[in-house]
Amino acid sequence: MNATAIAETLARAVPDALVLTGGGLDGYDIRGLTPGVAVRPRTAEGVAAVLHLAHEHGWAVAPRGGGTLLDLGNQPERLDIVLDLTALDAVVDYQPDDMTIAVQAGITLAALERVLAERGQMLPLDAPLPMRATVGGTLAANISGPRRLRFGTARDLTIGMQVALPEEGLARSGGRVVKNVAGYDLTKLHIGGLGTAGIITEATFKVQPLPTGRGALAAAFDNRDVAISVALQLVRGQLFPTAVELLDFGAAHRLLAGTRAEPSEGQWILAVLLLGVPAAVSRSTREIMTLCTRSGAPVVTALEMEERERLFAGIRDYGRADDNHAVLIARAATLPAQTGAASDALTRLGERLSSVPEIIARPGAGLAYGYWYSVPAEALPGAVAPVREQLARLGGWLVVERAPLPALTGLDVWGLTGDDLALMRRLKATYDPRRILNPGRYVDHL
Amino acid sequence: MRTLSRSAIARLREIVGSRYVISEPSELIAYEYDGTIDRGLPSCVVLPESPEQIAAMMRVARDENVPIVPRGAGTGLSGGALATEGGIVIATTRMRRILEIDTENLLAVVEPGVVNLDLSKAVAKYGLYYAPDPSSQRACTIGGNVAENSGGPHCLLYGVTTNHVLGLEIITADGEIVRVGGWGRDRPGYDLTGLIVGSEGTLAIVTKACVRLSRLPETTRTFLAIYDRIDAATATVSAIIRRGYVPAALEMFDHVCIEAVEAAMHPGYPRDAEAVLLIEVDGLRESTDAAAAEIADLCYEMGAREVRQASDPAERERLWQGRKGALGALGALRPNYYILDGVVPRTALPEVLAATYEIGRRHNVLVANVFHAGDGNLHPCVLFDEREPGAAERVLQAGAEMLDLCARAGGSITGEHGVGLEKREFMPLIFSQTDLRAMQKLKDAFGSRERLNPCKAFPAHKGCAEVGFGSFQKQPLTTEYYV
Repeated sequence: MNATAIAETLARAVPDALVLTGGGLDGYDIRGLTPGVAVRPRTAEGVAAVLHLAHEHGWAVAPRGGGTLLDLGNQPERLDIVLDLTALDAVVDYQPDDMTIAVQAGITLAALERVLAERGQMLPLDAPLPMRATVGGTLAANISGPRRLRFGTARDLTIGMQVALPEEGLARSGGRVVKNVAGYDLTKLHIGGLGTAGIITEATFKVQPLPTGRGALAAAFDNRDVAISVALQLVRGQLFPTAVELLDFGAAHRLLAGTRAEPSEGQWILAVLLLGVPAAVSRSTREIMTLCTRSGAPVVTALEMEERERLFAGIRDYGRADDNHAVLIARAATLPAQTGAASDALTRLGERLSSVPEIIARPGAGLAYGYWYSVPAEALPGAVAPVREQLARLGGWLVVERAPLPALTGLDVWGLTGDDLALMRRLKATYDPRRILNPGRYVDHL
Repeated sequence: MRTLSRSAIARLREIVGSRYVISEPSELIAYEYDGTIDRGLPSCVVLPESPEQIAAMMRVARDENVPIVPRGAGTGLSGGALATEGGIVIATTRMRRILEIDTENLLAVVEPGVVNLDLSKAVAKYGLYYAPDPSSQRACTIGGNVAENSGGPHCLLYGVTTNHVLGLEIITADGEIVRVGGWGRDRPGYDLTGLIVGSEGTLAIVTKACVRLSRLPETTRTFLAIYDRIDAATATVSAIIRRGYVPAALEMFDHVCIEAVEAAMHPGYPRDAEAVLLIEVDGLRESTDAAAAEIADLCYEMGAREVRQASDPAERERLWQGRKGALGALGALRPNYYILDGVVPRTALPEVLAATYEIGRRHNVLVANVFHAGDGNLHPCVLFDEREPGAAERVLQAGAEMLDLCARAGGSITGEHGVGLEKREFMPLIFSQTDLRAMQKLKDAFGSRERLNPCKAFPAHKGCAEVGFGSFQKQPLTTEYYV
């Protein structure tokens, strides 16, 4: 069927959806591929109806939220329809006294944050560009940020979900209560699933009270490994900081140049975020500053509110903001104690590309992120492979979160190997037998 | 019920050694029970010591067309470990090594038979512990915890098992040994670990778990708030949550429990109280000071007669003994008991709690409530004497009504014990047929349909044995029997 015919079929089946073809498709590209049709349903039933038809006819569908993470994944194998979830933006059920909230998948994180803040609550889920990022996309990508250290990631915060499945239609798992073991935890299939096993239409979260006290500090270190060691002490200690981030000079300079915490040449910055009751935050800040100084940090700065907010928003949006757009983003994963090795892996990748990355490490999770602002695209596949091998020997891996389009030929951005791949293939075959959901974009080009 | 051929038993003996294959009926009956009132007689019980042995046994089961039922400590409260369809019970008793304690990376790798509390004890000297703490933690195993996604009183603040499992080694129904998840974070691909946790032994058998270890908090403050009226206690729970506090634990007992527990173990609960709240806050000194003061005020505001604080670790331990020994103590009040496990939104607690007593009265059974008030997870305990004609039916009827109540209040039919056998028919109270179909497709992906713990966790189909709580547990097996 050609695009016009697809559009007509969809319009008939989902009359209240917006259906676009031809010129109206500006901005619906996915990695350089333009779909024949974009459809924007207004309800979960509409989403299910689109998927049902796509399944029937074998049309390839790519879900889309705020478009902030479209660079994730391999090149789509086929693309017939982009399914825009942004019209599903309602709060479905907010129970502040129960500390739970159910929202449609198309609501932005910023809108959700506003709703919760009005009642003195928050959902500590960090994703880049929250003004545009939707809940559905955030969950599908399993993206996370600085506050994961204390509050966990999407898998820890999500207690229920409704998903549109190609064969079954709308299906729920989990529920609206924080304690629930009824049924299989299918939310775990779709969180991080990149929409390849179903399209999230609604999610329920457990929320947190907004803290009464906040604090942050930035400590400059001349020696990276000392900085990592201090960071790990904080991660393993009893102060339970909300975020512990390590910025190399490049990243620190970009975010802190011109401020009181600006690093000197070559220095790494340890950035710590603290939330809690004011007295606890004050004491923790003091203790951490003392620890940093005793460990040799030449400068330690307690950050004021605005400095703190700007720094952590900058970390959260790093490489993806309008004024900070990286062309290559890679995530090296090891264990916390090997954070240095994760960072080294990114440095070595940079050497192979003859392009120096800016690095932000998240020692609590054993992760390091590299951001490049210019790279020779053709060199990427060859440069990634040996770095992956080295990380694999440590039990780690490297995921390319964003790469220039030409680099994608010959590069599997996920690099997943392991004997569990067979199970993953079976999951995909079970839930999306006709491979209509984001075919080719996921691990193993599933 | 399918029986096992002689050649199959011979093969099992070859795999694991004759000593570790139990096929004599007189010995099999020890494995007929778990923590519930039902029974299921296996065809055979095996005690392996390695994943390779389990993998080989899966292949025997496949060839013989008999199911496999994994079993940890057998303390489960939903019938999950009962071989109601016969088959081979694989008991993890011999696989109880802590393989790795990594204090640098705050993780541990354990075999499935490791007892929950033993893991915390093993890492205590590093100032660490394993956070999910089901009340049966002196007996239950990590493997069982993974199967049920177990909680415990401290999961209110610290999360349940799934929040603490980083990766697993599993054996599939086809006998493949597969490592899922990663000891590191955010491994790309589907979250197989997250799918297996809480799958009640129906998708795969866990042979290793990589779990998170947590740092023991700086300070812990434990309170007992005493009430003359139960609704004042439930109102306090809502008030604490509404005020924005997330205590480390918030447990509630009613009058029946208080009496039973005091008589059995003297933790210091006042026998004339209608209800008590056991509250714990932990963290930095300043946080616990602030929380303790505010929460005590709230308790008094909502009508507490008295708020006592444990003044030393010994007293704290005593107060918790009362909570963790509650079921055992209740078991002394009547010859039989039946523990329920429902969840409701916290705001619905006052009416739902009152309704459980009303249901008990209507069916002429004694209901005691001890539960995780902080996350709305109720454990009504129905006490009765099975010798009384009609008592068993009334108990089951009362239980069904209570689950229905939880579902209608927007809650769930199980907070932590699992669906298992006991609640499989109640799944339609909270899930549509589509929901259930979508879930059950997982068995196709894992290749485990009818082969691993069949007829559990989902409504029975035609092939399933009819089990209807035909027999009741007489006394708790030990006084240390927990809910």
